[in-house]
Amino acid sequence: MSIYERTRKGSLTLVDTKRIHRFGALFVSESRFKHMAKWLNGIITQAIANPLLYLLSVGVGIGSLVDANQGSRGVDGVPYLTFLGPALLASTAIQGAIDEVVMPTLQGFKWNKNFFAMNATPLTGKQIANGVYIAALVRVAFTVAIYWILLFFFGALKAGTAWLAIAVAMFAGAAFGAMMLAIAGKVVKEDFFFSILGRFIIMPLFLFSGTFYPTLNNADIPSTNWMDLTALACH
Amino acid sequence: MITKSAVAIAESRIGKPLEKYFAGRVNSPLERSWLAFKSSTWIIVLSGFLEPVLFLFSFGFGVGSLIGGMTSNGQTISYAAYIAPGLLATSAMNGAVYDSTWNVFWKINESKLYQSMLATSLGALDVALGEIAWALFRGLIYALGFMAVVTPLGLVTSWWGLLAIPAAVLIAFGFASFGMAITSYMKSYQQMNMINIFMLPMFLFSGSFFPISVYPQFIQWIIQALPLWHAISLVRGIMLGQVGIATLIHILYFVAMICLGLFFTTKRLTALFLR
Amino acid sequence: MSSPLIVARQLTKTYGEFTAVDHIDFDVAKGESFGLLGPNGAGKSTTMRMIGATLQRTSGELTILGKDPEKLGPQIRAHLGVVPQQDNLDGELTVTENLYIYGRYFGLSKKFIKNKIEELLEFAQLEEKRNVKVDALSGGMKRRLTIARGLVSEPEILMLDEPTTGLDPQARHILWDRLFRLKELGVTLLLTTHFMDEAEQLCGRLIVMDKGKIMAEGSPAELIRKYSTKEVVELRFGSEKNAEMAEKLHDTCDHIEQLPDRILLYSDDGETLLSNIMSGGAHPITSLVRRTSLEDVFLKLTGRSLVE
Repeated sequence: MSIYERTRKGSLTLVDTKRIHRFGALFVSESRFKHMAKWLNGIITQAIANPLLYLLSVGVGIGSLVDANQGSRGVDGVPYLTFLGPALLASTAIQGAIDEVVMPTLQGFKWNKNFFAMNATPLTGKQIANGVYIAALVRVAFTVAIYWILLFFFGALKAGTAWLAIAVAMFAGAAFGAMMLAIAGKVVKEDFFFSILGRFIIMPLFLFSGTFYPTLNNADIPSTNWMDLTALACH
Repeated sequence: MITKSAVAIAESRIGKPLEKYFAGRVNSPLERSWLAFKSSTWIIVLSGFLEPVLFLFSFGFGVGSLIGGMTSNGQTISYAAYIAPGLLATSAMNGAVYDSTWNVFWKINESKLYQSMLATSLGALDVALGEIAWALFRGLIYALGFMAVVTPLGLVTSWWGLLAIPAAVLIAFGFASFGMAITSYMKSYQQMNMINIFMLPMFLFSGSFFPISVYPQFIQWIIQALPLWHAISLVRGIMLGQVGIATLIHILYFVAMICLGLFFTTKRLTALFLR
Repeated sequence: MSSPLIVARQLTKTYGEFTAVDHIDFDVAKGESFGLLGPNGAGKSTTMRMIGATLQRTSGELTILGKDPEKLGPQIRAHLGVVPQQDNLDGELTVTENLYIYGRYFGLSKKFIKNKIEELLEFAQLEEKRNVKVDALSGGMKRRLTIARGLVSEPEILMLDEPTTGLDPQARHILWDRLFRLKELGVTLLLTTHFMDEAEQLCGRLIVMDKGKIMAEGSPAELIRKYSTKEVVELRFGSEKNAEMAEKLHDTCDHIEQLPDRILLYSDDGETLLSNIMSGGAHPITSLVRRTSLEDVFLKLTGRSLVE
């Protein structure tokens, strides 16, 4: 059959709307994974290099200064690297989740507008959002797992409950990811958005939530709780 | 008043040095940046200044409370005073690199700004110098802002500290001209990401947060070859009043970087748009 | 006639193995409006860029106002107003700021440009939009602004690369009107296009390029006369029957062309030819007699296959 004849026959014989109704979000995730696969080398490199760099410089480098000064007291009773590890794990999950929902959403609505193409098929807006979210969490799980393994080899994990930190970090990423997905969908001017988000929200949270030193009185910042929880699991 | 025509203006350059590349009008691209800057949003401009200040508070005072004092050339100083020069040098670098890499890449490939500039009687060197001069201006503003924060905090211990501002501009000049040269050879966003991959480790390991003496000797040599180490050492020496022959070497390093950067940028822009 | 403004002799540009412009010769006289026609990849834009002194030739000669663009690039560009294929307006600036800063790139005085801007805004019909950022302008407005921008230095030659591609019919007609006025004022226009109606409207003389070579040269009317008949009859018999009918009608006219969806018959008297065919017993689904246009000449010279 030529393409002209087939087009006339109509798509209802081909397209299974029930299947789309049930699994639509996964089809969207699949398209996200296809995109990620193109950058697979970069994703793997980043997942390994990023923790390695931070653990070596801040954990070991600054850690040597801290431990020399604190002696056997340590930081919260543990060596600096052990103190720092879980905080970096949680903040990586959060950062990863934000990147992986914000970028595709801006792209889908603004840059190549592929959300509109998806929505022109039987896929619903909700399925597109869920699909992006699921794909983001899978990517975050991968990053967090690698981070955790590196922490293990650095000797930063002391407690038997340390594996729980993966779950806690994932919850933190999931919470931030869901919130940012909602916000990114409403963005009007993107250059603006990245500057404000990165420099006025993410960066201060990263720097002042007890990531690098114990906090006393700023437990009301949301990510603090996540970091403390992750820390609890590891110590 | 007789107005000079575009042709007369262009012909007045005939016989002058570099006539093919330089129209003697660095001010026009600079004026363009100013116009664009005036209508940009102040919050984005502010954000560039904020970053090193946040790092100073988090690491200098937060982590610093765990570390206590540091010794630099026999002088005992607070951890905040130890990292402040590194942060100033790094912010000069970041501002210059951002302006000369991603911004320039975007102007070459997306907005086609240089294409339209070079369709006029401007030369490639006018465009390169104009863009770099703008990056310096921005670096200067950030440096002034940073000094306005650290000086009242008592982190500048010597009158030499005033020289940290021109030093930051020199550093910005080096990174801007070199960054622009590299960017002009880049073809894809993936290649551009290579710049970031290089920048982060340089930032983390060049001695802003801890002395490089913690590393084995050969790693120290590698770090000492990188521009950020020279930048940090230059500013630290100046802010702590430890000025000597080493200061001169750091300055010469940046002068060389500027010359190389300008040479390759002009060469490459000419090849891209006038060939 | 005074000496030509632009002279090209055996002008050639190669990129490695690929020859973009292949030994072409042409002259453009002062006040002329000269068109370069051709399908995508014919070498039009490459030729334009060499004239614009932003691309070096591989071999051959090229002079603009008697000067060599390779030796005196900035000096030649001072004579030119360039309107590139894709608008490269400064998206961060407003309409007036765009005109102003472009004048500054030429080193013109602020006072001169300030006065010039008013003229240009009127020319481009953008007085109302003077303080609007260019990102917010429609395609037609952007195009008019790009042309106005090209005029800020009062150039002797205005170069337009596909000036109306992507515009709606109203915007195209406004643009043609503006360009026609410039032509009347004696500005030398050099334009590329692949719209044949545009070439017929605007170009006094043109060259048709294909694969880097010049296929034909002359005024639009001359080219039609030389390469085609006065009229053409278009017949449709349905996809399956066209081939068979083309075979049958082969001897009825000067030249016949069979396309997948229709048959074209070239003749100086289309109506007579059509009634002869009808009375001969053929029954096309649709029939149309029209004057041949530059488009027919163009397709004849450069072929019908798709150029990607």
